[in-house]
Amino acid sequence: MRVTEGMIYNSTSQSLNSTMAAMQAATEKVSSGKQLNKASDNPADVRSAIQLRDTLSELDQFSRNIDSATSKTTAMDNSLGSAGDLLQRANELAISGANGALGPSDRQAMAQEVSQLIEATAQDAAAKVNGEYIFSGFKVNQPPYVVTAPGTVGAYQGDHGVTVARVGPASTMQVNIAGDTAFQPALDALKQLSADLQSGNPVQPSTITQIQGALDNVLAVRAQVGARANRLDQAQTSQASLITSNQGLLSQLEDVDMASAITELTKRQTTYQATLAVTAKVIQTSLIDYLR
Amino acid sequence: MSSPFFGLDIGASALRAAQQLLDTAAHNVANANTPGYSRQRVSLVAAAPYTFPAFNRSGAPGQVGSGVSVAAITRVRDTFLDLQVQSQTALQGQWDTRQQELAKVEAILPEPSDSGLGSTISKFYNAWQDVASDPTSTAARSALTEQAASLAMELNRDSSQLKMVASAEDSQVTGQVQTINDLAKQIASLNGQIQRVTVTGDNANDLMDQRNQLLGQLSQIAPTNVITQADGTLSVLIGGTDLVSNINSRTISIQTDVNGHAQPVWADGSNLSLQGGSLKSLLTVRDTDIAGYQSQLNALAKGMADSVNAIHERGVDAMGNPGQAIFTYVAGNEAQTLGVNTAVAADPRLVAAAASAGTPGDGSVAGLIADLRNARSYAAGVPGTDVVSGMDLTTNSTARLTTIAAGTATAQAWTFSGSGSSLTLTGADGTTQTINIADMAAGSTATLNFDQLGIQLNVTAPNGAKAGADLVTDLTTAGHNTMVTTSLFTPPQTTTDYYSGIVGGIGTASSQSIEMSTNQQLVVNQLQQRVQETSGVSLDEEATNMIEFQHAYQAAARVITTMDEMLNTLINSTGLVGRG
Repeated sequence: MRVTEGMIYNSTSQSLNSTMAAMQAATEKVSSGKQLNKASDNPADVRSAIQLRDTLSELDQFSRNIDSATSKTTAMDNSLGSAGDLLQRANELAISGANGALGPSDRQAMAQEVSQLIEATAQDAAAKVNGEYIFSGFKVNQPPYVVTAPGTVGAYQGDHGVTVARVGPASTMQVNIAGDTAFQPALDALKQLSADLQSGNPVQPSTITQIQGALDNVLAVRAQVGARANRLDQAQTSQASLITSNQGLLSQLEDVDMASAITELTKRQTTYQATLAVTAKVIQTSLIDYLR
Repeated sequence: MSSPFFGLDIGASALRAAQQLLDTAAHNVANANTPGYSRQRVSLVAAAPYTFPAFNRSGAPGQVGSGVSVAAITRVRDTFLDLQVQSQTALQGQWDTRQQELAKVEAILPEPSDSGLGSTISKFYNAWQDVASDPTSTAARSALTEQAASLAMELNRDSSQLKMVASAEDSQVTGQVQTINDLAKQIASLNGQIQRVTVTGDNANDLMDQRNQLLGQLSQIAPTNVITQADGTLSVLIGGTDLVSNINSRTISIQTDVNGHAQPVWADGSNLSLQGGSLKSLLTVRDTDIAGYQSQLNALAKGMADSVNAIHERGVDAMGNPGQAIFTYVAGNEAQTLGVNTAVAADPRLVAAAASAGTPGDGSVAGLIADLRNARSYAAGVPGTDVVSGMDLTTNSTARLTTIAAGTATAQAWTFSGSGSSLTLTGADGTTQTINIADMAAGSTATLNFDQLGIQLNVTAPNGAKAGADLVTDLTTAGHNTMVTTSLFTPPQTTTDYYSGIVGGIGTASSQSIEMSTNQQLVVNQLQQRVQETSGVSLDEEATNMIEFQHAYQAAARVITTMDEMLNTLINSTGLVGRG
């Protein structure tokens, strides 16, 4: 086979080019830390990476949704806790009001306090999160109950709209509770107690039962809210572990295995240096040098 | 008997031959780096011997050698290798160009990234979830309209950039056609020069090298068939039509097609058929690949806009008015013209998050739109005018389903069935609702509920029994009152699936072209090494030859000196017997 200078120059520049290109690709991997820098690097993995990124973005959103729902559950729990305390107080007043030894003026004074309890309960029902009344169903722009006269509240103004939180893929959870479900029995019982006390007679046993029923109702609703808060917590935890595992998957697809990438880079550098050294030797010599 | 001067002539012929050999070696050395140059060789033959056979020749022995003569100067070339180089160069041109053009397309959708269209789509649907969780929040609504605008802008930008790549390809097409025409003219002109040299019996070595070089450039752009004619000219054919024939060349011109793109055609208007080469690649990438990606982007924009609009229009905005379209676009150019309805963009209260008026806390419609993220299809609505008001079963079997309370939505498919006088509505989840016409008072209304949006079918009982089966016919006649479920994309898939499919498609095409162009480069390099092996100038070889020829020259000079001494003896020293 003939070997001409042109062949040597061509093959040298080709191998310098290709080792340079390989070294550059290895450098890009090491410096970016990514093995997927463009779609053609691995089209199938890039597809999966895009889908995983959307999944992660949605999981983050679920996490935000859960936070938002949790702030509402917390506010609901506070209101219900406070309403429970008010009913406890009403229960004490009712029991002492049932005592025949009390005079009408004592009962009048107690009725005053019950009026305040009614207004305070309406106040609890009018809890707001982000400027929205949380016990008004969909009618979040108006309080569920309005004090129409001292110690008197109007009818429930909200509706039974159900707000839901998206807490996971294809998984929703009811967030709100209609105000009349939570507070109407309490308000009715307080109203009855107020009427009993104002009548000057001892408080009816049926009223005490009604108050205790209302208290049970508040506790039951509060337990429901508590159960929801637990579910939200669990959802948040599972969300966090899903995010971690998906990030792991994404990292496997996108990120470079540094140890092997650096090894690869070193290998390429060695090849490049060897090519340079060999080239320097080969292209210097010619028969012309030896002819004198 | 030969003349005593005969030897001088032989020596002179040897001097001339050695001179020619050295001159050719010098020419080879001079052109060692000239692209396309083939080393040249001098063919020497022994000169015609003395004497010619004849009856009247002298009686002395004949066929005396008379020196050397230069028969021809030829180039060392393997023409089969040239053909291989040309056909492989055409493939290399094709894949190189495809790779370069697809790399430009790939750069338009830089994925995976935190800022590409993919993440914009994710953020858009996330924004709907924020509105769904907090429908009274102006911030969430504003963020949503901003995200919708970002999505539209991103799609506009991507679509425009694809168009820019395509129109840059137009000017490349024009440039390459110009190059073909120039090359064709030069080849035709070289054909003429070579023809004139060939008819005189010489080899037009350097001209043929130049022509080869031009053919190499031409085949990179368009693959050619080359036919060598007896007079040394080449006929060059593209797709069966002669571009160059003898000393004439044909011109390719540019026509603008219906899409405003430059298309090459023969000057007489006939179709130019290209089998490969970079020109073909430009046309394929522009007319097939980019056009395909463009229509995929359009489908993406249309699928998202239509589904979001359809559901949004069933919602009610914060002022209690029916929802408007969120997105606007020009059909056929959806991606580039996608925009956010200016009214909604200006006033985020117009985002229709609720299912009915007076319920500001209701974000259910926003939630349904957020759910489109993982949906493959959506309820596009009840078609046509069938939805009017009040289904009157008293008239006849052409009665139609009407009043739909608030909009027209259901994510699930419902089927009607009837037997006797009862009509049953069965949901995809198996829930059934049944009304029995026979049980209803004449003129009274029964309601069938379709979904959580409060969509109902009000059925007014006829003044007399009517069979349930007839009702089914009324309700399910093609196009009558049937909820139409439309796929977001074809085939049905989610938005992210569709988008990642576009990116994956570009990536696959691009990575294939990278691989092919790298391989093809290796093939062409290999062939060019073989051309070099045959035709390249080796300086060592030429140096060796030069020494050889120099010695030949010196020996020939010595022959002449010897002859000179011989003549000197003959002329100056002969016939001097006894003088002295």
